[in-house]
Amino acid sequence: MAEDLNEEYDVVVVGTGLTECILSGVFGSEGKKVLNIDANSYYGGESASLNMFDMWKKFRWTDEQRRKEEERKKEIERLENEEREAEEKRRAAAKEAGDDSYKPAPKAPRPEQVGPNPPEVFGKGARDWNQWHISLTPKFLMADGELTRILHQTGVTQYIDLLSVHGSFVVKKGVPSRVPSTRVEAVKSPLVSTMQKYYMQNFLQFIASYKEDDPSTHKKGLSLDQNTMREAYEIFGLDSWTSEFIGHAMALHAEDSYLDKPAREPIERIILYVKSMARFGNSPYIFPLYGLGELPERFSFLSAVYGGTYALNTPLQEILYDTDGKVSGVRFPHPITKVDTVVKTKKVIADPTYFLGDEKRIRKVGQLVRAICVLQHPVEGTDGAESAQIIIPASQMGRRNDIYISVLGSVFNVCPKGFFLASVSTMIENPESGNPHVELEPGFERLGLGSGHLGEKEEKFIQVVDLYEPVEDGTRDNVFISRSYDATTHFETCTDDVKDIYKRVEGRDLVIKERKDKAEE
Amino acid sequence: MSHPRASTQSQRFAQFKLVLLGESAVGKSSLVLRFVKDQFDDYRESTIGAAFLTQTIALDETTTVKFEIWDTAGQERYKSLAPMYYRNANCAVVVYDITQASSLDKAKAWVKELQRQANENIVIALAGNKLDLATGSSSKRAVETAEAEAYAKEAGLLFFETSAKTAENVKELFTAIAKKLPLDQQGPRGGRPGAGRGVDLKGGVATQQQGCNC
Repeated sequence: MAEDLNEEYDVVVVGTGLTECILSGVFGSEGKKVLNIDANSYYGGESASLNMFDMWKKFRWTDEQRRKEEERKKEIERLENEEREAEEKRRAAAKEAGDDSYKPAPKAPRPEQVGPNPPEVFGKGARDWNQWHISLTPKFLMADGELTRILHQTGVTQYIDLLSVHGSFVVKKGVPSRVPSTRVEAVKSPLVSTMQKYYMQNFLQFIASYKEDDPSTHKKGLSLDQNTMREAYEIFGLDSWTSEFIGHAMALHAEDSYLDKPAREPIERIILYVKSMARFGNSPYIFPLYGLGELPERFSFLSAVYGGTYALNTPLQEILYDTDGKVSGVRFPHPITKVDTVVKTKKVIADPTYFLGDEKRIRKVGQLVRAICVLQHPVEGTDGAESAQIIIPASQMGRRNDIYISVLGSVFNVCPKGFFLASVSTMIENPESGNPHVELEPGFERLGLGSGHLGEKEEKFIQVVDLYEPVEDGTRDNVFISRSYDATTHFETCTDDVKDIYKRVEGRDLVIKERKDKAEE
Repeated sequence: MSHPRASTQSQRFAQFKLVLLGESAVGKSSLVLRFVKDQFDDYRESTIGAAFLTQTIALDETTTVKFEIWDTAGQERYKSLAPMYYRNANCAVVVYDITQASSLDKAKAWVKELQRQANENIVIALAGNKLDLATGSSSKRAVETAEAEAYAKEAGLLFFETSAKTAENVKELFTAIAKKLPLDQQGPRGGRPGAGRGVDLKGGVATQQQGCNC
């Protein structure tokens, strides 16, 4: 029997969100001893996918019902342990006495569930509810982005299927159109006015051929570091609407502050968009079958294959420090026995939800409102696409922040046939209004859910999400805290955070080793 | 990966995902190691350093079954096995230790979990391991064969008592599973829904693969 949580770990990772699971997979692959704990009973934290029962529990049950459910689970576990021990004693005694007629004793009745089940239209039992894999933070992967590269390099793509998302749209005057990313598409696109087609083609030509170390591909008079993006648009002769949809639907900036910053970042984001688009055609996005929760689960499994230890249902109780103020260990209830347990470690990586209310550790950087909608029809204006990303630029609604809509159909195995999952989200602009969901109204209208309309088999789960970042970089005491998953539509900022945390922890840049599983015949 | 490719020719070839479940230290990895590499190591602790191993069985001259065998990587130890582990498994070997009565209770709990959560038509085998410890006068047996067999029959499971150490019944166990799998029956049963539909991330510009499970 291996030792039971009484050894020293190189890193204790708290939380099993995507950021944490990638890091524990990376550290595991480098031969480090990793312990990963999570207070939840499932993997993924804020980046988990939930089944319909867990969605119902999270969004429709009262705190009291959830508390009683926790008690009920503990009670069932206690009864099971008690009965198993009693059974073992009786069995041993019967064996001793040579009694062959021994039969297990009947079991005590179990306490009943207090909260309601989901309505029957969404399934009648666990097997039905498990057909739903609803991502709490519905983001896409950029086909040519960093997360895709990490999935490939770590070998995780061998056990995960990703599908190309069918379309990327931007809304102008209430009508969604595909975002053009090639010169040919620019000519055809209704988004680009006749006057602008020539300039847009030139711009896309520049994007497609740009190479940092080849000055002949650079635009005369444009320095990516000296000029702002506003100036870059002017240099290319792009008007305000063309530059708006480029900035919002291709560079994927949710608001306009990027305009007066150096052009490098938006230009690099546009290059990423166009390259991603070129990989699989319909859109620059890909998404895993069975939802985003697959990603943390697969990375955690990878880490376990490398020897990492995992314990769910295990809340962090306390971080312990040595006399220099550096981490020396963590305290938590043992995942099985619930006995108070302390393990030694010199480093802790944690997600911000474990420090809620601790102003020395984390600060709030914003608030977004998100509605996860269950629909029975594809979204109007998307050519019946099974999946899509739709951006409503802020200027079209008199807002400062865009509304993002993502749509996924049953082809992604995230819901039963006939259903669609749509997420609508935006940064909250009027936190004092007390009605954050009102800010999503233009998005609801697009989904046919305007003015509170909801079909018989449809549902809206609305959530306000606080976004946090760490106050310190963690090098003072070796507690490294990740950032919340932000409002962007993809995971590029998450992988930036992974690299950033790695550098803070290790003092050097992250280089992912290629892993090849040799399937042995 | 794990979708069956039974050809229409006289040669039949099918591939299935097999998962191992059971309490820690009952010998899950040892069973895999014996079956795949015909090895045994008394002192090995856990993990096999790969997400899964594969092994092929020739059922007869024309029929070949390839197993993609997933080991738990130790995640079951603190009740933290990711559901993706047994998702789309075509078959499962639930292992207990015949010298530990409580490990059969654990096995029963896993069978219940599989019947509730996994593929509807999953083929489950119950394996009572460490049969080598139950021989002679110093037998450490704590679970009677008849008791486990009766339970397996009632729950509709294949049943074997095995020894990864001596190799007794190991090949027989996997062969019985292969025989029970629906080799001819195509469709969702054999493969993961959506298997092979994914985009190919290798190399530079890739194209979307055609969805074809046949």
